[in-house]
Amino acid sequence: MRKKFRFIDHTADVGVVVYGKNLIELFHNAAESFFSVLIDLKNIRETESRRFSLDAPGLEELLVSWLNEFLYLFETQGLLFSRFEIKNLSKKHLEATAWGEKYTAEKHPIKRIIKAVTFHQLSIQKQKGIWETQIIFDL
Amino acid sequence: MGEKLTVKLQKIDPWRWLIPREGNMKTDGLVYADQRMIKDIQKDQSLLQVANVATLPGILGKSMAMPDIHWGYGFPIGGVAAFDMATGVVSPGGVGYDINCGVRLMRSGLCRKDIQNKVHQLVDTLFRNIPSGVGSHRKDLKLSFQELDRVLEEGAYWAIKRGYGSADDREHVEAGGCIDGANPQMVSDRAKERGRPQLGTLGSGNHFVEVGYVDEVYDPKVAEKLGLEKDKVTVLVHTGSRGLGHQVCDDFIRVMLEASRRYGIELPDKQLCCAPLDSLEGKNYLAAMASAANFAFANRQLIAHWTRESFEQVFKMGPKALGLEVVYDVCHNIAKIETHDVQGEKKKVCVHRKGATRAFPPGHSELPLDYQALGQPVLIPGDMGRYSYVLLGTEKALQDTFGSTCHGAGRVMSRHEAKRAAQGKSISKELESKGIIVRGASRETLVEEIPEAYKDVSDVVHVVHEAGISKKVVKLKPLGVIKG
Repeated sequence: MRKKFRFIDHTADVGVVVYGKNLIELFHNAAESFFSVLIDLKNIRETESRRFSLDAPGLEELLVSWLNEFLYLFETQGLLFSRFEIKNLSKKHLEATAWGEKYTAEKHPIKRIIKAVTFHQLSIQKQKGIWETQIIFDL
Repeated sequence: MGEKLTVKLQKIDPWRWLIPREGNMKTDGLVYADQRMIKDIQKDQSLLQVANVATLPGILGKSMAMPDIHWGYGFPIGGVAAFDMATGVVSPGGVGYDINCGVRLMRSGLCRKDIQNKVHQLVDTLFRNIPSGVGSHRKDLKLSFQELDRVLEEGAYWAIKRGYGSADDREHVEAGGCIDGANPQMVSDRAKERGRPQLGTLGSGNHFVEVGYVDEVYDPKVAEKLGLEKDKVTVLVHTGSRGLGHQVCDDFIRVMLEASRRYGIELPDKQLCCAPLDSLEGKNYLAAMASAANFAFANRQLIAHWTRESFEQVFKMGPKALGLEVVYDVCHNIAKIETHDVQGEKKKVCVHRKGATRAFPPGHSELPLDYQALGQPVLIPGDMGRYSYVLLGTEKALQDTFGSTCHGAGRVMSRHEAKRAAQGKSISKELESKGIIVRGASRETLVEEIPEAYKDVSDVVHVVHEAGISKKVVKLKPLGVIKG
C-alpha cells in the first residue's frame, strides 16, 4: 500500500507531507496524520461520532478548517478520532463524519499536543497523478 | 523546506549583520549575531523571513532579528518590526500563535541552602497545585463566559481582585498586566470555549515553572536593588494565552488573508498576511490580541499565586517570611503601540515583537517608580538543564531596536532529533544527577525538551550585552522544574 503520509523534521514544530490519489483521500489522510501526531491511533475506540459540514474560501483554507475542527473538539470536549469518512468535497465545501471516543488519561497516552494548524507553505498540488500537501503543526 | 534562497549579508561589526535593501524590500534588514551563530542562522530560511518582513508597507527603521532568531511562520522568531500608525500594518504572524507568551520572575527571602533538602517535595507540590498536561485544571476555578470576558478586559488585575496575589504585583508587570484597548467581542466564541477551561494552566511544550537560585552576579548594585543577591532562591513562570491566543491568531490569519487581498498588500509568504493599522481589520485584531494578552497576564498571575501557596505548604512559612515578590513579568510575543523617536520626531508606532522582549532604559515613562533609575528588567529563560538570565534594558536598545532585545535560547534540534539524541536515556535521572529535579506531564515532552535541543542561552545573551541593547545583571540556575 502507498504511504498515506510521512513526518518531516522541523526545528520547533512538526511537519507532515500527506498524499492521496484524490482530494477525498488527501483530506482523509490529513486527518489521520493529525491524530497520529497526538496519539497512537490504535488506542482510539469508536464510541462516538461527529458530523462535519464546513465552508471556506478555498481548498487550502478548507483543509486547515477541517483539521482545526479536530483541535477544537479535542480541547473543548476531549474528543479523539480514528476513522473518517468524507462524503462530499468541493473546493469550498466539505461534508464528513468521524468516529472516535473521549480522551481518558489512562487509555490515551498523549504523545504531543498540537496547538495550531498553520498555513505555512501550505499548498495542495497534484504531482504525477498523486495529490500532495505539506502541513506544519504548531506545537 | 522548499527551495533554498540566499540572502545577501554584510558584516557591520562583530555583533551585527546587515541585509541590504533589494527587490521589494522597503528597508534594510538587521540581524544581531556573532560570527559563529550567523553560520547556523544561514542554515534555515529565517534571514529570508527578515527580508520578507522588510517588504511590508509602512515599516519604520529596519526589519530586525535578535540572536535567538530561528525560522517562524511568516515573521522569524526573534523578529522585531515597527510600523507607522498611518501607513503601516499589523500582522498576527508578527506576534505569533501564543499571544503574550512571556515570563514572570519572582525573588524570595530564601537562600539555596534553605531549600536544598526540600526540592523534591516542592516540585511535587508545584506539580500538584499547578495544572499541566491535557485537560487538567483547578477544580476551584470555574469561569462563566461573562467572567471570562472580565479576564480579557482586566488581565492580571482580574486575578488580583479575586485574591490571587497582591495589588503590588501589577506594578512589576509589563503594561501593568493589562493591555489597553482589549475588546472581548472581538474574540470568537470558539477562542473563548478553548480558553475557558485553560485559565490557570501551564500548557505543554516549552512552558514551565522553574525554581532556581542566583548563581552568578554581574552587577552587584543592581542585583541588590532587584533582591537578586547570590544564592537567593527565585521562581520563573513561562506560559502564555493557551488555546485562546492560538485561536485568536488562527481566526485573524483568515481575516488578514482576505484583508491583504482587499488592500492590495503584496505578500511574499501567506503567513505574513496583515491589514493596515488604520483599518477595521487591523483595529479588530489589536483589540482581540490585547484580550488574549490579558488572558496570559491573568494566567501567569494565577500560577504565581499557586506557586506562593506551594512554598507556604512546603516550608510552613507565611507570605511575608517567604517574600516571593514579583521582580518583573515580560511579554515576548506581542504587538504594542508605543511612542518612539523616529528620525528626531516623537511618534506613535506599532512594534511587533515575536520571540523578542521589550528592553526599556532607565527613566522611561512606562517603568514603575522603583525601576526608574535602573531600567526595565528583561527575563531570558534558557533550557531546563542550564541557566537563565536577568538583564536590563538600555538607552541603546531604545535608539537602535525600538527598545527590544532577545527572548531565550531557541531550538537547534528538531523534536525528532531530540528524541533520537535522548534514546534510552532517563532525562529526569540525568538531570537529577546534575541537581535538578524535573516533573513533566508527559515523558515525550521531557525528551523533546532536553537541554541539548537548545542553543546555549549564554551565547545569545553575550551578543545582546556586547551590542549594548541590554546588560547582564545575574545568571540563574535551576533546582527544580515542572513542565507541561
